Amino acid sequence: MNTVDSQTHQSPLETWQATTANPFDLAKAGHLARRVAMGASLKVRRTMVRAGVEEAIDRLLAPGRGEDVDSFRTQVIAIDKVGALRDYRMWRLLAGRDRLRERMSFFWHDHFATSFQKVRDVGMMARQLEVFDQHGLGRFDDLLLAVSQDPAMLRWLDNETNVRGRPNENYAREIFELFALGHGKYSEEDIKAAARAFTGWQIRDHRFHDSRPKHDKGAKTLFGKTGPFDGADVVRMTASRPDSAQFLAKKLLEFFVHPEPAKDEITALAQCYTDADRHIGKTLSTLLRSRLFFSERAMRSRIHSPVDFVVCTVRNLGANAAPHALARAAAQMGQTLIEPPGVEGWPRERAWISSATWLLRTNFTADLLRGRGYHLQPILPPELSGGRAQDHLRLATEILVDGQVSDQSMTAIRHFLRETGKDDAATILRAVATLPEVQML
Amino acid sequence: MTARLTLLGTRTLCCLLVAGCLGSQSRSQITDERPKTGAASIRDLGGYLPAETLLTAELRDAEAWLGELLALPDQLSGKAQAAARAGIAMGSIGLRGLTGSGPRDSVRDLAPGQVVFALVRIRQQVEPLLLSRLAPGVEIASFGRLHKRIPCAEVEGVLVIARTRSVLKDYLKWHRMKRPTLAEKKGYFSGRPELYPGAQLRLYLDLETLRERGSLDVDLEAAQAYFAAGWLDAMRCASRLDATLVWNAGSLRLAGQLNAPLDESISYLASGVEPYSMPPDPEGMLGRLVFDRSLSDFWSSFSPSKSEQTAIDAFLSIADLLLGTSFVDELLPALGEPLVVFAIREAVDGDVQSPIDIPGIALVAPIRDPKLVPILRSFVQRIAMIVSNERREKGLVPFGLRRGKTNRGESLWIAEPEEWRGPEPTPLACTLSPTFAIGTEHVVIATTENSARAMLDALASKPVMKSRGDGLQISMPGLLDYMKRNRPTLILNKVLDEGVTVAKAEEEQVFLSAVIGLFERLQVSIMHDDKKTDFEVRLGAGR
Repeated sequence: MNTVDSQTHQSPLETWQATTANPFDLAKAGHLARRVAMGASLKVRRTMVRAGVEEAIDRLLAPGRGEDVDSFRTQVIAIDKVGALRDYRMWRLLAGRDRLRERMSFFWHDHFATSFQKVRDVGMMARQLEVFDQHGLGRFDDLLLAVSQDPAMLRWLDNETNVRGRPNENYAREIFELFALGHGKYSEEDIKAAARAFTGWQIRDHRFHDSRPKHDKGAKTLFGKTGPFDGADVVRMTASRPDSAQFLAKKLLEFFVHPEPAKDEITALAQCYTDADRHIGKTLSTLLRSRLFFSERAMRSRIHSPVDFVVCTVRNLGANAAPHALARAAAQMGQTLIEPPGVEGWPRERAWISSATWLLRTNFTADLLRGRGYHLQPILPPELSGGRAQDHLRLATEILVDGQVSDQSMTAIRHFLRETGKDDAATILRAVATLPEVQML
Repeated sequence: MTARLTLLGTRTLCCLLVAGCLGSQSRSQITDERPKTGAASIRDLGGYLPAETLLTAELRDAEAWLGELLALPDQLSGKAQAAARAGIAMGSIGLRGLTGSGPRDSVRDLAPGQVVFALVRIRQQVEPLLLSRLAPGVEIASFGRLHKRIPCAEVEGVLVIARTRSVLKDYLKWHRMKRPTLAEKKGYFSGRPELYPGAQLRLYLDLETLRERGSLDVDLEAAQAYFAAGWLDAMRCASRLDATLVWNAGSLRLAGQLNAPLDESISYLASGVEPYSMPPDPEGMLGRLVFDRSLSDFWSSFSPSKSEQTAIDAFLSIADLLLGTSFVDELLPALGEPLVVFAIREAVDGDVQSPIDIPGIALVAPIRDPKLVPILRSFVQRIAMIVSNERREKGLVPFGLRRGKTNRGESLWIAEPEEWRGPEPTPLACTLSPTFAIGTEHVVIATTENSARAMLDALASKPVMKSRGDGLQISMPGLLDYMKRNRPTLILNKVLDEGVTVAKAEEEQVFLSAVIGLFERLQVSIMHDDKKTDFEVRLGAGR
């Protein structure tokens, strides 16, 4: 698929401009809020519409009025319980003031998927997530180096045992295949050379330790170049490869725009990323303002992961809910934070939806709206508490799906309400929450 | 009015109630004076309540209580004072809006003596009612706005306030039909008002009716059943619960009685009838929790659920293997009563930088059979070794085992974590040193070596006291100190568990600290005998 406008030859990353025919409306504000901030209350979304697209994006990209989540990091590490860390990270996703940073940390947590199941050290897991917080919107080279020296990653992919004379190729293989280049963009010789370069990167006293005696100082040939490379050289050489730009551009597009990005879209974003000196934040700033991001193809094109779903639902309702209960609900739906199922991260898109998880999602929203089990405050969004009955359906669809409901869904809702004879705000909101549209990110 | 009162918030009202009870420092000394002229007694007002009343609560002297409440802000400081002033101001405005006069005049006219709050059954619904006898010559009709805004009526000189006008209508209908009243209910008042003659607030609860409604059905797991035994058993068997609230000289005392003997099936509580030797309080004690019941008898009489049974069987099979003898038949009978848990202030170690600061916890039990001490010791050592190895396998800091001695020659077996050399902060587990010790015929299991040593010192140097029943004692300044030191952790827990904002959690912490700061000590005691269960909760400067 090629999405470059054949008439105008505009790049998909051209800045999107609102027009009278295609305004920055509630649907676009909702799209922006979901993809960047994991949802926002109707009041915030309406404010975004009034402010216009430029200001709305600027506000979203700058730290806002959320909670000062960083100030509690030492308590979480000292408690030393994975459950507390999971709840804390859920709280950050729900209420952290730097919305894009939290979202990107969630992205990198999936990208560099590391599980507590093997690491078994809460402090290490917490610090790895802090690496994402710190470098997630910076240069990819810095992030990749920090992750490569991260104790949780060293344990997760066995670099602890990677020493001179007995190289362990696990990390070298994954850094190429899953973290930076993608399958088929490297050779077996490259893996062997990289594994030797990473020898000596160990853990001592729960910290990264560069053990020179255990490092293989010999010459290695990597990507056709020969030298006494070490781990930092591998990271630098990998991150600067054009294949890495393509690989990351695809992942970012899958996450922010569409699960199946077109080739020219990937190429355009890879170029943008390279031009930005491999700076993730600058690349995203361009992407989030682009025609591509606001295109029809991008809108509601993804399926919420369980974490996206629970956070987005609560935030769209403009409510507070207990992070502990949300983390547990997401886990029941198949996504346990801090414990991705494997090095490839969580499954994506349609894999999240089955008859069982659909029921769990519907029950979650119903329980949430009844204020049961999630310490939701308030139970009804303020917009609905005083409205007229005939306005409730419109408001409920605006709260949960920016008013974007198919005719078929609307007919079904109206039929349901007629059959049950109920028209109170809570029933209408619960009915709207069961629509397929609500499952779309 | 309702909206304005809602604005006050339940916490402000709670603060007013608690602090109001304490505001009586010098003025309110409990006396046994009879009701004033124009006032009514609970027996009198009982003639205006249906026989099917679940609960009655009687405030003995509303006028005196109001005086204490109005003087309350002077007894407080800071935010608590401001909250009390705001609450009183709002209440006064509301009352003036209803009665046309200030709080003192309103109460003098409308409720000069007792005020009775009751939960009654009207038309199969449980409804609250508020009753008081009007002052002589006062008629409710002269309070036009009150009559208009609040569902209330005057019945033979008694003011009756209901939740809604429809409930009030039903009540008046009941009264006209002259159905049986509480005053006519056989034995209802027998012995009740005499039980605590000086109490300012009395509460009578009909447990039989509550049980009929299924409100007392509780299903507990093993540990919960052990801890709550006795109290729940009494709630299951008693027909009534009487309680009183007394406040004076800065203290608050809730005392009561359940009129049931212990169920014979709860044999592990039988020892609760006899006095026991209480381990003395260690230096730096912050709290003490006493369970006067036999672990061994409890274990043999408890019927676990199917899922619990599986877990228990798994534990016992391993425990018996490690012990080389039976955990249930040999080890548990070696431990006597009472089982006491002490919270002990820990000296802050300058080298350890943990943002979480918790007191040491020591569990103490008398040893019945000294022959089993070596088995117990070996069991604890093996468990410690397994846990340490598990930690090592999981990549956590392992615990090394070492033996210590007191200067009296008592041995301690200490599981000590390796020194934390990782990045700060130090994980909580690395600030602990689980310790097992035997001293002065008691077994001590503590979370830290220091708390175990403090306990051994107390056992060796202080006299053993005779005591009875279950008990809890908490030093409120000590609790407040730990709350202050762990403020961020407590706030974080509240945010994560309840979904409140940080600001809200902080606000609640301030409120809780203010309430705790009002008291010196919390004491709870529960005592069973062959006829009844007595309980008492004291908040204040102590006895």
